[in-house]
Amino acid sequence: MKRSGKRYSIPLGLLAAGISMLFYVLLPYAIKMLIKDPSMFGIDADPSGIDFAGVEAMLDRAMLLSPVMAVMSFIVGFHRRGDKNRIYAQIVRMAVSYVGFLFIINFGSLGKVIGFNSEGSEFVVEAFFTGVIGVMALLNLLKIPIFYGEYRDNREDFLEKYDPDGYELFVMGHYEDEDYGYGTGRRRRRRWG
Amino acid sequence: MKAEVAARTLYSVAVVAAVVILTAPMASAMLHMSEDGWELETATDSEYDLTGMNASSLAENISDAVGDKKGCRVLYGEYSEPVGTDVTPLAYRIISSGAASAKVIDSEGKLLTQDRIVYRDSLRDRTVMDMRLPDIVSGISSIDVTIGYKDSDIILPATSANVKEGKVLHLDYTVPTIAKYSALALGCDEYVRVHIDYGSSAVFDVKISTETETTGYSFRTEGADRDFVEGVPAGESAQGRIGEYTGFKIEGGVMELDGRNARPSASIQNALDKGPVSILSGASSVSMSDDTVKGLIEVLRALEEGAKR
Repeated sequence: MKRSGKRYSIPLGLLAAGISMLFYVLLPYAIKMLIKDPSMFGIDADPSGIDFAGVEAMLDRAMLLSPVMAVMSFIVGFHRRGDKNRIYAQIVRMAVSYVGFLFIINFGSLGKVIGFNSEGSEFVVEAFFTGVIGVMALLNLLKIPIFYGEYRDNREDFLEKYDPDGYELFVMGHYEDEDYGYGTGRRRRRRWG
Repeated sequence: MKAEVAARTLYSVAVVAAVVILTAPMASAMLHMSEDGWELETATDSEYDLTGMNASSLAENISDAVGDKKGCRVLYGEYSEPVGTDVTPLAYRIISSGAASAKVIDSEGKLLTQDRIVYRDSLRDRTVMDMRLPDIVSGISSIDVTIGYKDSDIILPATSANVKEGKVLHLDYTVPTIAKYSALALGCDEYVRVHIDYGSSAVFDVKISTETETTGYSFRTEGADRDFVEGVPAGESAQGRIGEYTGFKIEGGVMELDGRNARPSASIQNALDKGPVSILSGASSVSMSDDTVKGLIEVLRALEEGAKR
């Protein structure tokens, strides 16, 4: 008896969106608090007079991006593992997150990462991260095999649970009757003679 | 192995490799950090090239090197003299000896160090400085230093800036006094901008601005072609020209620029339109980059506009 459940899951979508929000809101917020008041985290330091404008702007940009990433993550989580649409959603999220990364780091130009005054002198450090832009692009592209691997590993279970017709076609296309049987032991090769 | 696990393993390896490549110069430096490796100190060997130094800046440099130490000596030419409380007569003797160089040693014969060596005359301020950097920055691949005046376009590229032995930043920069006095008359603070390229993966721009005392400086114009900056050091004295069409005279605490029938800013601009502009005074000259001259013109324009109002 084949089952046919829902191909989509709103709770899983919401869970993915929630995790994304945690990453893009809570983490930057915690870092911002750490910069402003390290004593909240039990660190004995006085950051007053030190200007982290560039870092704070970067954290603000990350928080600004959070709704977009939450929506993208919702769409990914909404589609179950093994669903072809999940791969498309993952690739779109990957592209959006890379553009978002460029936005967060302001295309490598972080501006004033630290500035302070000391004995009548003003000290400002501006940073430009150039190497990380190409490296992140490469690392993002390397996620595609993960998406495909996840799809491939879960495809059969997905079809069995949510698409009986598709499952029949899948099984027919992947296993020859002579060598494999259906059911739980189908992967075991039958020994003849 | 499942496909997803294999892909994730490959991804993890790539992430680790990327992190290692991006942080290798810094990580390598950290591995070789010594106990005092975090300290930044300026320590320039107290050895002077006397060809570009006048007696007053030599006296200033010797005083800086000696501080409150006792038993120090100056070696110059074939002479060796102890450093007393008043170094000015000694400085005059050293300059008039015609020696090419001099160095200051302590009572045990060890070469002293000081923050910076200043070569000053009426045309320029040349500063030589060796800065010992924290070990963490030993992985820097290139460095570029510019001296400038905040809120003005005057920028002066360092004559030389390099990293010696992986951790000593050697700086040598010259500031033409005409550009300096003009910027100070406009109330600009001096800054040093250090541009550090860190293994091609990151670039840091460090800008250190120093509040400069500019209240003693003032600017006025006379007629249609003369600018005056008052409040310059009274002991300075020089005269000559800036490019082809602008004369200058520094005397009695006043710097005068004569544009010869045009505003000095316009006459310097005319010279710049025809080629590089240098400051010439007798046999001495200071060359300026086009960007520096453009900055000087902008400062003079701003001062002239301000004087009109």
